[in-house]
Amino acid sequence: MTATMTPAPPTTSQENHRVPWRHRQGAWWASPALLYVPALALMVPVFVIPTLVMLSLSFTSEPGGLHWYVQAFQSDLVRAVLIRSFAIAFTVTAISLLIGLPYAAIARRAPRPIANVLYGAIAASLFFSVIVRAYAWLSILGHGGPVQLALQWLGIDTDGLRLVNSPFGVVVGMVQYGVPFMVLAIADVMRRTDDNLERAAATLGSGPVHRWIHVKLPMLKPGIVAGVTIVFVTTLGYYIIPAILGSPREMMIGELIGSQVGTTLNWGYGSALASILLVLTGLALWLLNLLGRK
Amino acid sequence: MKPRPVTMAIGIVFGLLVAAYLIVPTLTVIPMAFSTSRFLEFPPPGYSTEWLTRFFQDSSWTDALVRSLVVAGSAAAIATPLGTLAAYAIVTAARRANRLAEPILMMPMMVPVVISGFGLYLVTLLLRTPGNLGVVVLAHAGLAIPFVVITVTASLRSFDFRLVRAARVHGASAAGAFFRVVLPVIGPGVGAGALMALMVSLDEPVVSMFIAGDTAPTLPVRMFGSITYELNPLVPVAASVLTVVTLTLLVGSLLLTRLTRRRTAV
Repeated sequence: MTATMTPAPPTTSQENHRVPWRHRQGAWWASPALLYVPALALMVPVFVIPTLVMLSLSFTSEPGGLHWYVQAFQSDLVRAVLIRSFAIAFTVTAISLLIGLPYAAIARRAPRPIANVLYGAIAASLFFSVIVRAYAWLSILGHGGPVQLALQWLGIDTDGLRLVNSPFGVVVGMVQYGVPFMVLAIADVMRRTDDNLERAAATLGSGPVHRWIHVKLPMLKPGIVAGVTIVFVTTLGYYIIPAILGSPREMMIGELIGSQVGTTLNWGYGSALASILLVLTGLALWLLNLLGRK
Repeated sequence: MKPRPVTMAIGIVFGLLVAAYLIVPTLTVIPMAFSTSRFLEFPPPGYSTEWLTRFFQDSSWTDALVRSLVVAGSAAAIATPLGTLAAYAIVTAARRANRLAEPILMMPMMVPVVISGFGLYLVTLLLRTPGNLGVVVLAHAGLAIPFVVITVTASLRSFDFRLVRAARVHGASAAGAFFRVVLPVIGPGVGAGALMALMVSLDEPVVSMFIAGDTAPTLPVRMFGSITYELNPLVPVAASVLTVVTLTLLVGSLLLTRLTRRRTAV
């Protein structure tokens, strides 16, 4: 884009944002890219370098080599924790999608005051503290809480049910955390879809279910993939909610890593576990990105 | 397509139930803060302000609260200008620079916080500076930067950059044009970003716990310890205090977002 003295032709809003000086020929010290420097000067030493240090410690801590990785992969505990983390992340993502997709669709179609309540609930829940939310579930699902009393009143034996300190509790808490992100991702794409396509499909004789599957879902796919990605990746490595609502006997990988803090002897082991989670997270992001592009 | 009234009615009931699931459980901490029981009981057997007074008389809790507010304020004071500059770069710089810088800026959103927290913990051990609250502030600022960047980028995207060109033509310096033309317009967006940064820090227990958990616990760390190791009747009070603070931030940011929309609307 070159700057000219003639009046600019009417640009689309998208182009308009890209108009400002690119400084292709300008001096390097006037490049707008330099505005990145202060933020990067914070991010690199605080996040990038520590992560690299951790990765290298996983190979160099006494006795070095692949020792800590071998130990991690030979451990039945680690294997069980990894399988559980994936199973819980998968369950939470699936339920969040099953709730979030219709929720976004309903919020878009509902009359104004109800739509405001539905969007407001999403915004408010994003601002509620995670630790407060997990704690609230502890009292609601816990021993003597309203849910247990209601089940007893219905004549259901609650002695064998573990509503908290169990994977069930973790799923309840994590879905509450995940749904708003899923709704935001889907609603964002929904806002940009063209309703006329659906109308056209209806004119051509497509029923409501057929329309959803063949017209609407393909249009919403980028939002669904974005929502699935953020919910799956955050659940996989989450620490606080599983630590409060789960049980120490049924840990997730984030808790296992957290429990290494303070045990000064096991730098290598902790680093290896964190590196494994890092690689698995990267793998999940990559796979979901592939899925989104197709 | 207009859905049938029955379908819509079922949909609305479903939507309101989900909205209740998202919001109502969290609000139960407020009546529990005024409970007469020292156990976790909902609904509370009776109401009193006993725990509320005890909370504000217990220095271990008030210290944690003050510490949290100071950390959040400092982190937001660092993250807001850095994030605003980076957002300006995203909108104006060459695409090649963006491709290099953006993944690093967005890293805290993708990498689980246990991983970056654990890395930072190892580095403080290697440098023999454990328990340092300054490191917590820097880490929180870093965690908040993506939120500031996203919020400010959104308001810059609807900003008309021809205004800057007009200012420069009339002799304003680059910095002058930024402070006197851009900032007044995107100011509310920057303010919303700052509130997000405060929120991120106030609700961040993991890094704070790894770095300064034993020596200088923030409010979430103190709460987390009380939830997992003891059943403390002061936790609901702490939770209510935190909820009131975050709701205030929410209302503030909604107002600021509305203001941004009004100012950038051309």
